[in-house]
Amino acid sequence: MNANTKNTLRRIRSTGLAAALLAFAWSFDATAAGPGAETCKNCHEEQVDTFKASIHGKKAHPQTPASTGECSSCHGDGTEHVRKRGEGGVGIVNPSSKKLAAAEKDKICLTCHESNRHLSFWDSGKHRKNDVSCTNCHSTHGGKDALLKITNPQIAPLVNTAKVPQQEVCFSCHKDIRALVMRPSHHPIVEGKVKCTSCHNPHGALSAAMVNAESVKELCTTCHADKRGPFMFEHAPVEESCLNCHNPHGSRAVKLLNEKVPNLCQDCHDAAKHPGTMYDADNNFRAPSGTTSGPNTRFIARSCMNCHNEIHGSNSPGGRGRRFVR
Amino acid sequence: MTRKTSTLVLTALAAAVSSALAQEATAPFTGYVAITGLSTHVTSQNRFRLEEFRDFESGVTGSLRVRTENDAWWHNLFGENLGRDDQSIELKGGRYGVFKYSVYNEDIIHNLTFGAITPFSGVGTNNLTFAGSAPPPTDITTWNSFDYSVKHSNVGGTAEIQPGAASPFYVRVTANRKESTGIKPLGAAGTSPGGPSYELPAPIDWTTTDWSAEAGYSTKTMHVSANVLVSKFSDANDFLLWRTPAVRTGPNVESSTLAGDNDLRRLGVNAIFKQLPLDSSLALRGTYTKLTNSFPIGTTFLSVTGTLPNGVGNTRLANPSVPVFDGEVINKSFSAALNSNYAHGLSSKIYYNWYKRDNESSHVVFTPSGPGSGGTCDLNPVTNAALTTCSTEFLHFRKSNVGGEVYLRLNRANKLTLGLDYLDTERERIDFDRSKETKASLEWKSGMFEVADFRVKYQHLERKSDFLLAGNSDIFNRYLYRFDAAPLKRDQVKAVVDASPIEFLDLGLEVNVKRNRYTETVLGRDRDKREEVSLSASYGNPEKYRITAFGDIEHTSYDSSHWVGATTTFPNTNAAGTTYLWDSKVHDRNWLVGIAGDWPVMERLTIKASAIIQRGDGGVDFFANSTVANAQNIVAYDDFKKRAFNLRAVYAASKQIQLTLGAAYEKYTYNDIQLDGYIYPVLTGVNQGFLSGAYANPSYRATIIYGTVAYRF
Repeated sequence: MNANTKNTLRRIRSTGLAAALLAFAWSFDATAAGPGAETCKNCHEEQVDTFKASIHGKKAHPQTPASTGECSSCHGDGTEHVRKRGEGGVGIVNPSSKKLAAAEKDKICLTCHESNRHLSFWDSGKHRKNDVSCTNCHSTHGGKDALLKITNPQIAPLVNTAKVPQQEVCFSCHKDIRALVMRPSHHPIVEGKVKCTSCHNPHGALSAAMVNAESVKELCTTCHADKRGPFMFEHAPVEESCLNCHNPHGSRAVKLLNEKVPNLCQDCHDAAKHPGTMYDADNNFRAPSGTTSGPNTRFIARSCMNCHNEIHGSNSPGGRGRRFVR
Repeated sequence: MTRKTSTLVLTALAAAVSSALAQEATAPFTGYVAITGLSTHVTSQNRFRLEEFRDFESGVTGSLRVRTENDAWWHNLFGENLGRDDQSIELKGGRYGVFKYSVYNEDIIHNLTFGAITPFSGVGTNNLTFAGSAPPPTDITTWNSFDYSVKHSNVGGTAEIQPGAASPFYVRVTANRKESTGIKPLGAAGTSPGGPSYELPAPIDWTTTDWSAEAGYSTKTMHVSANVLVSKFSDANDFLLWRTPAVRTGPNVESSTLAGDNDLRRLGVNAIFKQLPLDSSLALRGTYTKLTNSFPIGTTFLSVTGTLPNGVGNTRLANPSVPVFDGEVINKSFSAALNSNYAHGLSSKIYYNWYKRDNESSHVVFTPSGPGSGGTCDLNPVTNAALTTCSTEFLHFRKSNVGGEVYLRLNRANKLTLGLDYLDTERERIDFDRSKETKASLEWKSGMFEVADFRVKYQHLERKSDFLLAGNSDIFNRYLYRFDAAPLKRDQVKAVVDASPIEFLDLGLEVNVKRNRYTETVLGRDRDKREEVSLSASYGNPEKYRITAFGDIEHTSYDSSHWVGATTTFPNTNAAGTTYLWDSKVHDRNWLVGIAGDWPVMERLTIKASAIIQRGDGGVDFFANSTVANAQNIVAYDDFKKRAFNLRAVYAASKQIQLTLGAAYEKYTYNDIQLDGYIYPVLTGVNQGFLSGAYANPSYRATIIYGTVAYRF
């Protein structure tokens, strides 16, 4: 074969190769920038499989990454990355990377989700202000319900629920709340009956502590409607805030009280006769005979609540209603 | 909703879904069906702490998860603890981008005490009585046994629809009906003031029905929505009627308030505008809530005279100024927040919150008369002399809150946040009618260490309050400052470190310190503090094995000052020891250590384990300014120790069959001076009371063996 023939064949081969590459490139969806999921799957099989299993992988939804660019919707154009066989992560981003600032991570998700009504108050929320990003709590690849990212085994007593423990996501940062929820008196969060999002909106809210209501009492009485009133005789601190007496996350005292009764009550009530009495150890059931006290119904059992039961408000007529004894 | 009904609902829903799916392309079903058997052995006098929210009764239960989806639709059915008190069933699904729905039945059991006893008959009704003459017998072997518990059964659903996946419009509706049934403890004084007390089983028979709807328009640049909530609470029993042990002659039926019916209407409007100048967003919210009820006011009450146990019952007239109480409370709120980004690394948030509560309920004045005594409560505002009336007092308040935060990113790794907040509260209350709180905070967040992030936040709060009773003729009123509104200085520090020094290792440390000083308080709570340290560590590849540990120690204390004795002698101690100042310090220490691990031993076998050790110690130290008082400190105040271990093996016998075998052990010991040595018929003579054992003797030891066979498809 002479040199001219060889050159011609070489040109045909190069042209053909170029044409093939072009055809390969043009074969992608016009909206996709970069290689599709099937290409990424060659090296990232698990990530692609989990992506396809999630809502992000549903092509029927015209706004999902599956419909608009697949992997490149979130990770950027991976053409260079493929060309360089993955070396150095060229031309792509990892939204979970610690090297990426929180706002930059959020921007990736908000490209699609900014119009989501759940994220309406995101700008005003504490999480955004504290640089908590979407990928701190969510994972498109292998996340649980609502794509929650739960990687650690759950530290909990035996619970008979298979529900996704949403609280494990929150406890990864809010460690003090984990301890409170494990106290003897607690809301059934670990038991799977109440979630953190039952009271809080982690995506942002204008209320303090991002609660799902305008005031603490309105929030609590969403479930505890029996405490709403209106009562003929109100108890002022109850009406202003339940947190004056209760810790909703957990406590040792019954009924989630901040402090045991009578001490809690005596912090506000002091008067002649029994509100100001020093109920010490001599007032218990086992008080030895001969003491000046002995069992005192203002101290034993439910203490003040032995008589003043209607502490959230009363509808009984007259003084007995005013003193919450009926 | 009964279990039978919920099963019928579930069947109907499954049928509906099946027919819906029949319209679609064939979709595969995945999920599991499982049967679990439990064998529980408990040693306890009152195991409510073990089963407060958990149904561990020996027996069999079932669970299932069935999911089906195609390119357009998805449905997921989940159910667990089927046939048990804590049953949960939910069917949810939708059409991607267009429609979402959820229907559910969620049962919550809340056990408060097992094996309570009472001399009364009629337990579970709103009418308690006992046979024979008063008081009832003190032989508890003749008493009736029952449990204090409440079961909440929620049935409801949600639907959300958009005209199309790209449509900014949406409508969402929710409905929930909660039926609560059970018995709770209700304390009642035999006579007032002083005298015996009775712990009565009060019925719970509540229904809460909520309807809400929201319509909105949401795009990347704005969100506008309106929502409405209608909630109705009803109690089948307005009052608990009970025969009082205090009366031997004459009328003897007392009446105690139970939860009252109410209606709530709420209207809310939200508006958020984004992409404003300076890369700003403006968020606005307004709400209007109206709570109402109405009931005829009681015209009589029982007044007990004479010397117990030979009490004489008198029907005393209450003489209310109006026959019907029309309750009406209106809450209004408005909030606004402006978030701006000025330049690279500098941003801010400015906010305003306003909240107003007006109680427009019927103002009632009682002028008791007739046989017996009591029923008054009003005092002359100048002399504090008792008047012959008792009037309602309602709380109105208004809160105005304004504040701002500035965020300054010094460099990529370091960020400073400065905050200033001002809260002005005006309230109609006899002691503090206005409080002004100023809060300043500074936070430094840093990621300058490659393997660790940390942040430190300091917050200082000062509250100034206008006190109205400085010149009151009642000494107590002059010096008693209620902590919820009293002048206050607070300092709070929080420090957090999160580190990942090597691959698969995560460490965390959190320190919280808070100190409150009620600077002008003479009587009442004058300081409290909280100090807490939490540690966490996790190691392992989540796809292989992973172990996590957590530890927490917390110390709290509440200090307060009090006066015993007549007001005329304040603040002088007398030799007889009947008037003196005294202080108390309520202190608590809590420890928690926990560890959990998942270990795939072999390809088909995974071991999961969790262990928790917890302890709480509380007490009260008294300091009495009297040599006669002889204060005795309390050393056991809600003291407890808990050990909880859970170990299970999960074996994939085949692709379809998964077997789980597990064992759990829990030991909970409780020691509290208010419940130790519990006596049901307590005291004798004029002070003889009748208790029922609420919350008493909660220590337990439990061993639970369980096994599950799950079929996966």
